[in-house]
Amino acid sequence: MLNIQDLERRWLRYTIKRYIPIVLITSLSIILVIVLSFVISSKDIATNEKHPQNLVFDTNIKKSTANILQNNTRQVDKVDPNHSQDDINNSDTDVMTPSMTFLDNFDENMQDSNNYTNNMQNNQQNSYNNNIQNNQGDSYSDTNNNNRGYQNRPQNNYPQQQYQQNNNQRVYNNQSGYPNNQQYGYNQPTQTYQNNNYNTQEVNENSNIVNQNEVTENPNITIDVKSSSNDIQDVIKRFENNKSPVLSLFLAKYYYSKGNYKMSKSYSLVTNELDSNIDESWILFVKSLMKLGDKKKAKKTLTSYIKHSNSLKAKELYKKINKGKFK
Amino acid sequence: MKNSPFETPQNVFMDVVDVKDYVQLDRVSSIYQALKDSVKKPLKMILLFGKPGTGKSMLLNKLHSDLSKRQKVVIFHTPIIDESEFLITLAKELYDVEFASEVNFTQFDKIASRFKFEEIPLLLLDEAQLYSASLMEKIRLLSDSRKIKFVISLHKTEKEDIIAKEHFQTRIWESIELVNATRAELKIYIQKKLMKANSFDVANMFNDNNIKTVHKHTNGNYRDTNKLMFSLFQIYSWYEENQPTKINYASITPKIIEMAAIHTGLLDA
Repeated sequence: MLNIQDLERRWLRYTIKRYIPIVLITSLSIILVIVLSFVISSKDIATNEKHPQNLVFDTNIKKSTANILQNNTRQVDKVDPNHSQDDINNSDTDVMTPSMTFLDNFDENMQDSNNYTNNMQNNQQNSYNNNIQNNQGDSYSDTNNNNRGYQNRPQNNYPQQQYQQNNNQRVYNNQSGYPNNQQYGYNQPTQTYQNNNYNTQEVNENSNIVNQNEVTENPNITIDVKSSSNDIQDVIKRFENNKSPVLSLFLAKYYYSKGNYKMSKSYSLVTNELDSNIDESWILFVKSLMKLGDKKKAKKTLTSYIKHSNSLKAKELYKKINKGKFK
Repeated sequence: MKNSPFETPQNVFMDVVDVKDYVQLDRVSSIYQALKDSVKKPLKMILLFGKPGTGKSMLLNKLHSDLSKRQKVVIFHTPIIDESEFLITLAKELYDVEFASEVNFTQFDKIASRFKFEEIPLLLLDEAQLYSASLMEKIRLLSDSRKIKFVISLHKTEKEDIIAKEHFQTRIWESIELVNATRAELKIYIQKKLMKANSFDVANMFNDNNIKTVHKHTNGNYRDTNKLMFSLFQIYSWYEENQPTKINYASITPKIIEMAAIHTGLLDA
């Protein structure tokens, strides 16, 4: 006699039993894949940390300078020409992500006349940059102003290279007040930096090679390298490809710092469209409007944004504009 | 329930050996033809062997049905264990001679010598593995005397192989093995059976996946297939009567095949 209810129950039990191994195997496979990918990514990170040639945009110029100042003794390594060449060639494949915090310095540099880097640049006698620039055509400074800066901070066996973007110039800033090249012990032959985006820079034998000798007093060397127009084109291309608000904000800041307020306004507007919650972007938009003389629209935008976000920065800017302090 | 489209198919697959239910499959047909040809030859003994449910009994029945029109053919579906009873029954069936008391082999041989046939009478023994060794020896002697020709069918197991070896090795002139159906053969088997019973709609419900599932559970064994199919249509009939909304008339539901397999013990759940 058929007992369908019992049969259905047994069939259900059989089905569950049949699928348990499949579910188990699938779950185990997924876990295995996750663990493997985690292990692989951990290895990648470890590998990246081991390689000094990984180039990073260091955005915090003040911090790095302060770190250097804390050390009484610094060793300035000789830069091995072959090694450097390899590094730069390798750097073609590195993805260089622009750092936004660095760009904070743009504003400050624009508004703060006490900017340390600018001081250094303006200080003809103490600036290493100027020493180099004055050195009869052999200079780290790029003649086309397509510059990038690096900070050569020798630690361990490798010189740490930090690329910093600023004001579209490449300048070696000597913050230590070294009077001339001799005090740096620059006496090694040339080194050539070369990649797709950068012009070949030959380092003068007499002036530009950093010796491995230890520098025992005031070794703080800040090298500001400015992004070239090629870099910006690259960023624009990247932005066009991925429409990242981070990149558009970067471009807005870049153009603002360059005084191209029309472009900074456009990019900040684009950024706002992509992500309406970025404080900086709204402020930059308002600042650009102000610079373009559209105070009415700037205030209106700012008011709306303050209502929407209650941003302290926006309020501060509003006060500044009202008091006529913003220029 | 009487009007259920699944009632007739259910009866078709009832596990009864009936010559009417014989399904002509390519391989089975060729085997049957080989068997018929062997019977015509002056062979003493023909062995038909295979696993249970591969169609041995059906072939014997078919052979009996076909040959009985033109020659004396006797079939023993179930073994007769007692030797005297075996000989008495054989004498009655072959020569129409009745014995009042027990008969021994010598008495039977005398009776057998009195009768002459145009063609040697044929005795078909199903489930021959169940016969005792002593009786098998008498069967061997009878075949040697050429008074009776034997077609014996037995299960292919290790034990039965020994029997075959001991008693018939030198006398078997022909041995035919039956095997389970392939998936394609099983499909033809099921559909032909259903169509014979005019259950065309139900036959169309079977797709390749259904056959695959049935074959997976039965390994192509005809007896198991019959049991599974019977149970399947029994379940369908129940659903038809109690929960008709659960029936998909477009194709057989794998769930119900599996339920039938569970019901028949082919699937352990």
